[in-house]
Amino acid sequence: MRKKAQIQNMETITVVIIIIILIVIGVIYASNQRRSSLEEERQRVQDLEAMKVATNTLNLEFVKCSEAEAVSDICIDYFKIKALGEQSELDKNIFFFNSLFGDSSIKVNILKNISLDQENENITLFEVPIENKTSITTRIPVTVKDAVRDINFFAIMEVSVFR
Amino acid sequence: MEIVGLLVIVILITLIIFFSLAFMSGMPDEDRLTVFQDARIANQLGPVITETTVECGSRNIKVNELIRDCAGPNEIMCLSQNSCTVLNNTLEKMIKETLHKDLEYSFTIKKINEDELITNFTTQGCVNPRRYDTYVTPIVSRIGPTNINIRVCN
Repeated sequence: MRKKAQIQNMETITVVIIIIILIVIGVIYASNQRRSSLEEERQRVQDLEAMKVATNTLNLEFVKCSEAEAVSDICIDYFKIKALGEQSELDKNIFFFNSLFGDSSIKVNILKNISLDQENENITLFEVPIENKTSITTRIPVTVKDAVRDINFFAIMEVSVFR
Repeated sequence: MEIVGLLVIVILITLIIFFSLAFMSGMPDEDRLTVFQDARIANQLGPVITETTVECGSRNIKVNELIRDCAGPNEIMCLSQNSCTVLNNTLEKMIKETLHKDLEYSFTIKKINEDELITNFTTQGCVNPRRYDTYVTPIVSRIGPTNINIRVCN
């Protein structure tokens, strides 16, 4: 009788221990999931930031092509972006451009070899000198208009947002 | 014995919860930036392509003029090449520069009324896709409407 009671006690204790172990494993698993979802949230915010910078750049009034005061969404003016690139390098303008573009790098690669069999040209609109940081890059096709020669070049705008 | 039965039920429930959580977290996350980029590229590629100027002998013409000529009269000659050849060569370069090498896509230019393909760049994975997004750029010409269709496939 006593032995039977002892065996029953052992069974109960074993079951309780196993249940506690399962609960502990569940808590550890849940905390790992929470940590990875925080990392995903951080990445989501950075992805959205890259999209925001890319969209803002394309919506800048002072780089868009204009003809009879009508601006185009997909066309940027060659001379305007060259001037923008020069202005963004000046110390007095850093604060303004930084507030506009954040920690990012915006370049336009004009593929002149497609239109005119000339060498391609790279124009840097804005660049933050950041080392040893990973970046997310978006590449979007745009038209770069040379209003003087009346030529529309096929170009790729690369927007890199640093993490 | 009853307690062992309780234990078995608890273990089964725990296993079910673990497997369902593992299955849910194992589902592929959509790469937001790639989706945005692909959509943006596909949406803008048609209009950007049509407005691009290319050299044609001693003059410069826009790609939309090449498309109209290739779809219709076929009168334009750029040195020794006709408009269709120049168009295909130009499009190939542009597509190579923009559409991601891992992307499955279909890039076609079609005459609407005759359902005739003027140009076709389609990757293997895009022949019978389960799902796709289509971006259309219409080109008006006197021989009838022509569309640039860019299909980004999943």
